[in-house]
Amino acid sequence: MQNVTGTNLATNWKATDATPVCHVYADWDGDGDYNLPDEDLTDYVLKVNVTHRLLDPVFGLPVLGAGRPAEATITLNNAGHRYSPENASGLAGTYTSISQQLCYRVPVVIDMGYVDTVNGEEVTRQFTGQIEGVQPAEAGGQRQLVYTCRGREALLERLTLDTGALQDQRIDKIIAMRLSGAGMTSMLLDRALFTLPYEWSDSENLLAHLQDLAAADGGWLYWSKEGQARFERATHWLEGTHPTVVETLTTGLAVRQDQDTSWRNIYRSVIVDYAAISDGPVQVVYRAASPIEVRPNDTEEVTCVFTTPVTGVIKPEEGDDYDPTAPLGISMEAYCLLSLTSTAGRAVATFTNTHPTLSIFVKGFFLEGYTILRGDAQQVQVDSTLGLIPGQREYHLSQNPWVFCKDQAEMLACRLLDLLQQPAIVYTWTGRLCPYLEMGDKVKITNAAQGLSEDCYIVGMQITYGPAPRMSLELIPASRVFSGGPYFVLGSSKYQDPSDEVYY
Amino acid sequence: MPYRPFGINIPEVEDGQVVSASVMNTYGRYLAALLSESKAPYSAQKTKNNTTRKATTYGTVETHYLIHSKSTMFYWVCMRVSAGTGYCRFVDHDTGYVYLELSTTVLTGWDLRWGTVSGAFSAKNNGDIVTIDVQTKATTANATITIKLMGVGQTGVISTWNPLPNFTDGTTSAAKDFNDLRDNLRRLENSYVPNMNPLLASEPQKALGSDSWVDVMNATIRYRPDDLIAYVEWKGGGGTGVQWRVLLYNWADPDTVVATYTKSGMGISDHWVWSGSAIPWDTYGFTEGNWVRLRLQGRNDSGTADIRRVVFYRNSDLVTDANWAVPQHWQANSANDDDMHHSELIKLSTDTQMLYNGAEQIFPERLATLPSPSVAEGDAQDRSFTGIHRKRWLACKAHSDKETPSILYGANLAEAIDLPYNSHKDWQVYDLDEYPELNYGTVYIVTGADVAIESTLLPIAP
Repeated sequence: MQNVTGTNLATNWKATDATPVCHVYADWDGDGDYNLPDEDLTDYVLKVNVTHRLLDPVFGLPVLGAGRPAEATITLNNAGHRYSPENASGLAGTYTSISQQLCYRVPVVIDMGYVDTVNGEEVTRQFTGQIEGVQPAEAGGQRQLVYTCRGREALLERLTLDTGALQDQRIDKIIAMRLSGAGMTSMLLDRALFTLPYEWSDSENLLAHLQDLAAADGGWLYWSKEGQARFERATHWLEGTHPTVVETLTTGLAVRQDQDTSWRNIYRSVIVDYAAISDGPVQVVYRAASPIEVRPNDTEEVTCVFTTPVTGVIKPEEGDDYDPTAPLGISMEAYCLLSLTSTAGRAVATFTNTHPTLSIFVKGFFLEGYTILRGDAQQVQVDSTLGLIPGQREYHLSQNPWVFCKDQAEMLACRLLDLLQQPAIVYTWTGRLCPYLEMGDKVKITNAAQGLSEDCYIVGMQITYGPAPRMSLELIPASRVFSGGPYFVLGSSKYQDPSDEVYY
Repeated sequence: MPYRPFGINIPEVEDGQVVSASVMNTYGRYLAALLSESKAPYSAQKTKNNTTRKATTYGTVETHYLIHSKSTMFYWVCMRVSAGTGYCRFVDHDTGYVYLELSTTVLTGWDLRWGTVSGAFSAKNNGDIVTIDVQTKATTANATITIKLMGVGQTGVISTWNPLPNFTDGTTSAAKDFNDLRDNLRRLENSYVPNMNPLLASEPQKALGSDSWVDVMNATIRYRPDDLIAYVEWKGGGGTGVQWRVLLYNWADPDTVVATYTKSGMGISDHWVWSGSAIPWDTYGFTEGNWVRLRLQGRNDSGTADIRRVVFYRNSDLVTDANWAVPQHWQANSANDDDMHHSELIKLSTDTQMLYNGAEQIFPERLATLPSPSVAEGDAQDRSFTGIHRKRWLACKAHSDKETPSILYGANLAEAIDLPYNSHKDWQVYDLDEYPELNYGTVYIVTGADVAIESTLLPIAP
């Protein structure tokens, strides 16, 4: 849960007479803060809708790797076309981020809470992201404008990276390096369980790449309400404050409670593919198909895409690895310079011809590299012993290139089986906004008449303000996530026989 | 390129973390890997007997090669000088950097000098091929500086050893216990210098005298009570045939023979014969861990005979200390193996301590270099290197006449692999995994190169 020390939010969210507050800010001048009067949109807010979800869209369960990027829609009263990008008399006349960029990727934050009779307004951050779209709308004499926003992770969605190979790095450290490389420094990362022999990115979508890495450790990567990147390992919900119930959600506080039990995605077996990543042979990883022409006193840049990723390339030697000649075969070695930069997946070779009149034709150019080898796929299969459904139903996890060893595959398979061997139960609890709840918080949902009293983890959250604050939580029973226990927790479990259990 | 010990990474843990079986099992695997390394066959290192020189300026008397993985230099050399002060130094062949300079005024007997030089190779990258020139001089004109170099190589030093956790029944667990154990295992691995499997050059085809013993080769190895095997390739002979013998010395007294093993009845052969024999050195009174000098000599009853290749290696008896306990393989949700069991945790500590104490025989080894042949490189005929195939990469320093290297293996070395050769490079690096016919554990020979070194790391030529 978010830090609410010193506030009375824990009381006020349950008090029906507490006055709700919602603040929306946009960083129009791009200076990293929201201190201008124009940057406070609060007085114009008609409606806000925020969504955070760890749920896999297909399974309806928190599977592996990531949730979906957070989203927010902010509906403003646009009287006088104050926020219209075309209106030079409005804010567009002051801020080029509105007039020229059409608000695209303007940072936005949303705070919500309640007015405390002693402390005044008490709020917590509900969303951190940026505007991705603007939809002005006029209907029925009411002039509105809707900002569609996405969480900070969306900044990585279309970002690709070409990197060198990292060697022997723990997954969380890799994630940290890649996030920092993309300019994201706010992060809270669990210590990962696995260390990858090699990792690299060759024009991969960065967000998908990071989510694959998180999934390969059995954990997930998501962005918090504060816009902080969080990597949580497989056992995260068993650790720290997570085993403690943060709030009890009673029928008295609810306006609606649903329960969905789905047999559609139940499986008897989980199969996980893994493929070793190891040092490969030194071999040719690029060979130019035709001579490279370099005009007199000119340079020619060649992007060499490798057939196999490498930890490094061997600098080609003139005469051995390429042959610079003039058109009639005269050696031009004295006039040909080569510089080379490379990543794991490609190199840029720049040839310079210092001869004033003759072109150079570089023949037979090739690059040798210290290759990284991916072995053939092997499989781990774990089968349910519950016997809930007849026949053969297998869930096959085969797409993650960073699952490289059997231990890892077994851990993932067992973790997935815990989730998939039983029908998925998802409770949806709708009621007044408790502004400090976060993804993964443990809450107790109770319904005395129904006989329901279940500890659950929050895996989805929809927050609305318009004007009353409300939240709709998606909850999965804790007993469906971890099948064993009590687990051995370092620092609290004791050395003894018998002792607590290990996780996968 | 980093050195990845055994391909096993033990993750660090932290208080508050739930322990995973996948983490716990890395400890046992790491221990098993360390144990198996201590049991690996180990080739003796070829050494010269006495190297003498008369000069008041430094000159190279031996050259050694290693593939960098550790930063500390280890050396053991016996020195004496006939007058004044004698000097011996170890110099980086490529940079001229002086790793160590030693001096002696001992005139008779030997001045035994051994130790380590911390950080000597810290400027090198893992996998770099390091060439060390051993140079001598004397301060007095016409004085003779003599050295008997047992070895120079690389090692890691266990400088800080965490007290191992007791995992006492009833006490609260702590991440520090596991991280201390992890750190100690990594230090053990770091202190252990992987056997470089020096592929031993014989003197190039040594003619044997008629009815007199002729020195063929010296080598050094540490004693442990496993099999010591000598392989000798010979031809010729007359009368009662060829014999060879091995004189064994304790390096603390390198001129006094402790025991002699004689192999008689080799017979007469008009073709090269490659034969091995076990030497019962466990009956000679050595103490485990002793450095032992092996001196192979040959003789012939009459006529002509030659020995052209020799290899010594210490085989493993594969007998494990009875106190070694295999830790459980943890498995979540299993009937018995999902419990942390403090008694199983204690095994991790006691096994680690056994390795640290050297109880598992002589762990770690400390030799890891290949000396140059004892004649000027490039001048010898049929230079060859012999060893046991244990590591993936083979680095060969090209012969001066650009001869194409070959591997000979199999019964009577009748099988051959011709290796590719790039005339523009001094060092050729081969991936032996590309030759699946050369099984790991096979004794084989490399011909057509001045130096050959096997390596776990991909060797990087200077």
